[in-house]
Amino acid sequence: MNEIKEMLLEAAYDAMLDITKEEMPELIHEYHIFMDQVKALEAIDTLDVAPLAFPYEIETSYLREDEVIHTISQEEILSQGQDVLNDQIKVPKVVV
Amino acid sequence: MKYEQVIGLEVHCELKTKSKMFSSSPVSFAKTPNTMVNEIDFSMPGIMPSVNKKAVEYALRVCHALHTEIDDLICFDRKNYYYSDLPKGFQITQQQRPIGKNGYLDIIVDNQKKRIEIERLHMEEDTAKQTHFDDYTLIDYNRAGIPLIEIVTKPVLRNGKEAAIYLEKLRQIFLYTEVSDAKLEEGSMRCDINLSLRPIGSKQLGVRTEIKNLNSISNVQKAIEYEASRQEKILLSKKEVIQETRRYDEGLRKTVLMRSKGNSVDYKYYSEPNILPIRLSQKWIKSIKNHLNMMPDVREDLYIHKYHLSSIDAKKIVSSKELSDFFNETVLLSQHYQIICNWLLGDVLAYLNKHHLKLNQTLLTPSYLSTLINLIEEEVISSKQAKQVFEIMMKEGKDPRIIIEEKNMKQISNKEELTFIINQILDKNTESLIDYFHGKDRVIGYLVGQIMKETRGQANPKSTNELLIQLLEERKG
Repeated sequence: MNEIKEMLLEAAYDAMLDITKEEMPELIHEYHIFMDQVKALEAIDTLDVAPLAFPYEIETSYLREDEVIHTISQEEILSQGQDVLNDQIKVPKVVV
Repeated sequence: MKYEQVIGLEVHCELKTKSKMFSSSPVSFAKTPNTMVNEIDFSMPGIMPSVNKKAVEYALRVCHALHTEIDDLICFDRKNYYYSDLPKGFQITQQQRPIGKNGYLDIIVDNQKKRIEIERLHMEEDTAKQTHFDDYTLIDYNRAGIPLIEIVTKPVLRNGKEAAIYLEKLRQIFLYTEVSDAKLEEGSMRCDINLSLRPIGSKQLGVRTEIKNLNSISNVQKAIEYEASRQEKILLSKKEVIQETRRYDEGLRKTVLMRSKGNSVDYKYYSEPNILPIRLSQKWIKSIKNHLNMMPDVREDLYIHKYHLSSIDAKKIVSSKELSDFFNETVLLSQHYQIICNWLLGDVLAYLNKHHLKLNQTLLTPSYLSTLINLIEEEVISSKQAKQVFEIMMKEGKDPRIIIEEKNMKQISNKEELTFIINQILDKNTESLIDYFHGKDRVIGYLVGQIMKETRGQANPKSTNELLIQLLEERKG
């Protein structure tokens, strides 16, 4: 039980959620229900079944006309970065 | 043991649409960073991508030019990877159903035709441009979302020269279909190489390496030559080639390791859930084919067989779409096909090179050039006068007939008029006449000079020469 609690707290931390002690028993209960449902799904034989991406098999014919309509300001874009230099977002280098 | 090279190329080409592949923000180059972006390119929560019709049209143009089978159901997939060049964490691409497959492009290598099979052509979005420094990276999202097509060959190329010829031909296709400016040095056309070696005669493929960062066609050829020799040395020393990604270092003139494939990512492709499959009408696909510009091969053939140009001249004309379009328009106005070709490849190109201009940046029109050529052929002006008219025509954009009128440059070809002038000159130069009677033929040159001086260069040189000799002989008799 403690393992599940630790795992849920860790997931909550990653998702930036705060879970109270009072909420935890209910959450663990829901976790077991969810995992039972996953087991039920896993029991279905999906061999040779194509993955489903859309709930209905519909097609469309709509294509957007090539027109410039909308941009957002540079200020808004740069505000999304923690660090900015020379009109660009500055990030740590990850590729050598 | 002797080995043969097995090469496949992956080419990315940026399409010159007005807006991006999935958003209505502008496609534009060399603008202030991060000013050509909207929420979709920047992957804000709740965005819905919408497919650009013009980008699909451009992809279809290239599909037709490369003779691919076309899938009329457009489907996109997500290529999942976590990296700062695409902040949504995936690239929208066509993994399962490329818009085009099983095409070909014929190339000529050492006077032999070789068919390069195209495995697939698919559409996708470009990533943001990253500039790497010693310990940080700067990101400009202007490039994120620009429409791309990727064209993948089967592993049918056998050396760097074939690869270079294929790339040059493919670049011509992009230019003739007017889908891209296709500049390798500016990144609007990019090429990756897959290369392996196998013993000659073997059907089994060897371990391949992938080479990236190639900014010119000549570097592609050099990279292939270096990498093939590197792999050959490894195999001859009984070692194994390692599957890895390398890049071509222009300064070192060699390929260097980027990353080994052992660390390669599983992209976990799946269908893009935000874009429903889009059915294209057959009528639209056909109309794009019907409106396709004439491709370079067809033009070359036409120039040789209909306009009787040499193969070399035909190749030179089609090497530039602009020049070829100009030639096509001019031959509708004048039937002096070879002379049109000579002017375009001679004086016109020389003028463009001298002034660092493109043809469409000058005031020359097919109508002006054909008029000028017709005036020379009708002997209204001499070739020498035509050069002067041409210079004025290029600078002032005037009809050559007007220039001739204004400069009083008409050639005197009328026999009676010329006879009168020549006789006047002969009467004034009796000493030269005596010299001629004594067999000194070189006086003819002197007399022609005098006639030209008198007519201010307007006497038709050919007629003048013929008539002068005739009149001298008459006086001799």
